[in-house]
Amino acid sequence: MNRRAIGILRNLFRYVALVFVSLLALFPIYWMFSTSIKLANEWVATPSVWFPSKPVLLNYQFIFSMSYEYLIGRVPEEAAAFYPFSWASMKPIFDSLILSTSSTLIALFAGTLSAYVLSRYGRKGAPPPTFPLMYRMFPPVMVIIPVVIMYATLRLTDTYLGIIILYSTLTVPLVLWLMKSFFDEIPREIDEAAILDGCSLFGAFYRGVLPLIKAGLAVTGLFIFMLDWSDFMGVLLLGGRNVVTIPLKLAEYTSGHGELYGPMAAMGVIAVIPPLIFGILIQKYLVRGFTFGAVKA
Amino acid sequence: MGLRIENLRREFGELVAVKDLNLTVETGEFVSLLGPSGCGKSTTLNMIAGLLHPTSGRIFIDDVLVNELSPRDRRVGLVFQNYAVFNYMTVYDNLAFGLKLRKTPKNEIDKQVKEVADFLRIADVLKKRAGGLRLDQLQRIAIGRSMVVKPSLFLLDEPLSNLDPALRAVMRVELKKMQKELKQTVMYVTHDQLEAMTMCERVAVMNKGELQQYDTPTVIYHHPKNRFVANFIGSPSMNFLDCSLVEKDGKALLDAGAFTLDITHLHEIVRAQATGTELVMGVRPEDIEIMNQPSGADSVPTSVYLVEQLGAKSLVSMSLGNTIIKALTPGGFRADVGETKWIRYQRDKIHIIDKKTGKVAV
Repeated sequence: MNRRAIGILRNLFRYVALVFVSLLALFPIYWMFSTSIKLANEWVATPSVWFPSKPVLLNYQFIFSMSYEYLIGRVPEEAAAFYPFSWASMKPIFDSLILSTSSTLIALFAGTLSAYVLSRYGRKGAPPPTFPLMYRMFPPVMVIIPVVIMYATLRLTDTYLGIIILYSTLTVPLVLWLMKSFFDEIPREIDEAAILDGCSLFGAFYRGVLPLIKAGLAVTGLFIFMLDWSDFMGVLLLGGRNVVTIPLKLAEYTSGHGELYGPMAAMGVIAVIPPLIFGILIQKYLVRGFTFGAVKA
Repeated sequence: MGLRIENLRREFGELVAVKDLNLTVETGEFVSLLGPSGCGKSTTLNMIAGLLHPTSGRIFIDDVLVNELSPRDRRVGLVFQNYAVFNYMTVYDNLAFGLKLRKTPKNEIDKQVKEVADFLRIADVLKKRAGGLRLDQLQRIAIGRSMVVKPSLFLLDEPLSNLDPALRAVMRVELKKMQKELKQTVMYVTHDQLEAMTMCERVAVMNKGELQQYDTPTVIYHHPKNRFVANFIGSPSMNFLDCSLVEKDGKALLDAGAFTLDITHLHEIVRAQATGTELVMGVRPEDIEIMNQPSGADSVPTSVYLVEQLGAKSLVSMSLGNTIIKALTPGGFRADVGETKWIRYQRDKIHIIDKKTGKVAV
């Protein structure tokens, strides 16, 4: 075998391995998507139905109506009449978007500013403060019970403000920790140069340093957004009637008749979209953000 | 007066980083702060720039007290060792940064940026992002960014230490030329004596937060004030030999154990300057002559320890008693290890240092 053939074989092997790994990673997503367009009898059929025999939008129509009755065995053609579209059904999606976006923005704002201050004005060579991280040293369940009691007293239960406060306070420590490591990588001379050129202290941060760590900010934002987006317990205990997010809505599809896997999958597909869009928007920063620290800028 | 520093002091807790420094720099003068790492030269620079508050003391720039002024109002340009160029901006934006913050009109910014870019020969990369440029180009941008706001005082913090030796030599010449053309007052911080000696009109040698000597490179080299300066300046560094002053038959002799040296002609000065008879003799390697045969009473026999060929010169280490003496001779010097050679000090070039105080008497 000559060298060229070995090269081709090696490449072939590499691609086969990559395809295999990708399939492994993407399969659950495929399964969710395919379930979302399956009829009820194919959801958990044995043997498994790999490809829906007749793709339908029934499940999507169901989740976008206000109907609570899933009519198993109905022909899909009648669905439009049974499941009229209702704006009210969009509430979980809007709630999730409002809560996650505002909490992420607040956490990013507060966390980034404090991270900058700790990085620049903290004692030089001092170990990074660990107290903000104490928040995450135990499972959130531990804080949630006292929070439930406090919220009841403060009348914050089942309010947007309450959930936003909960989400941002739980994630600010993470933002602080992540952003501080990004700031630490930027030499102080950048700030000093900006100050000498006429910037204020805030200007040195905003015009000098922040543009350098856009990548870190974007990645931290995505990370925090996904944490808030996927929260179930917080909203389960502190929301419910007024505040209903997607994860909470998903739980509702477990009814007396059994699990409504189709609508669950359909809602799952919807839930994937916002983080996906966010991810695509910041794609050019992703790799840089994840490898920050490993490679010198 | 470009810069005047009066009793400047900075403490970090227990540590006194700068100890009551007094210094003046004439307008248009090129001065360097030279010293080993941790001698307080960067601290001094940061205080002049306004990035650090002095514990006490006063700083005047162009005869204006600037202690309470913010960095931007001091009209000071600072070039950092690692350049601190904003590498996500284009070169143009980097140069225009300070002017934009000062709300200079757009066409004025354009004019001045182009002028500086031409002067520094980076006009061809103005549109490029600073990120991917060569080190010397970054260096020029850093200089240009400070230059564009026309500072009355230019501070350079080890600006050449990130460059490779060849580029360093080029930039050294260019910096010097630039300073002359602009008649710019410059304070240059470095630990590299070659840079300080070649570029600057006056050199301030610092150690442990204290100013040791402040004079022209020639004076500092030939007439160091104390043992630290004598040792720090010059490469290879000065030889030091412990000795004592002996008076015999109306003559003054320097007794180093292995040899004695007649210093009768210096006796009066030494007696006036030194606190005791414990002295140190200092002599530069180039002021030692190596001979194959003894000639005159001053010749001292030594044995060759090591010969290093430096090209134009040879550096010969010789053992004399317990010490090693280094001498510079013309290149191509040959000798076997252990071979006996005679050395002679150039009598008018030796320094006599008080061992206790470290002060140079002669």
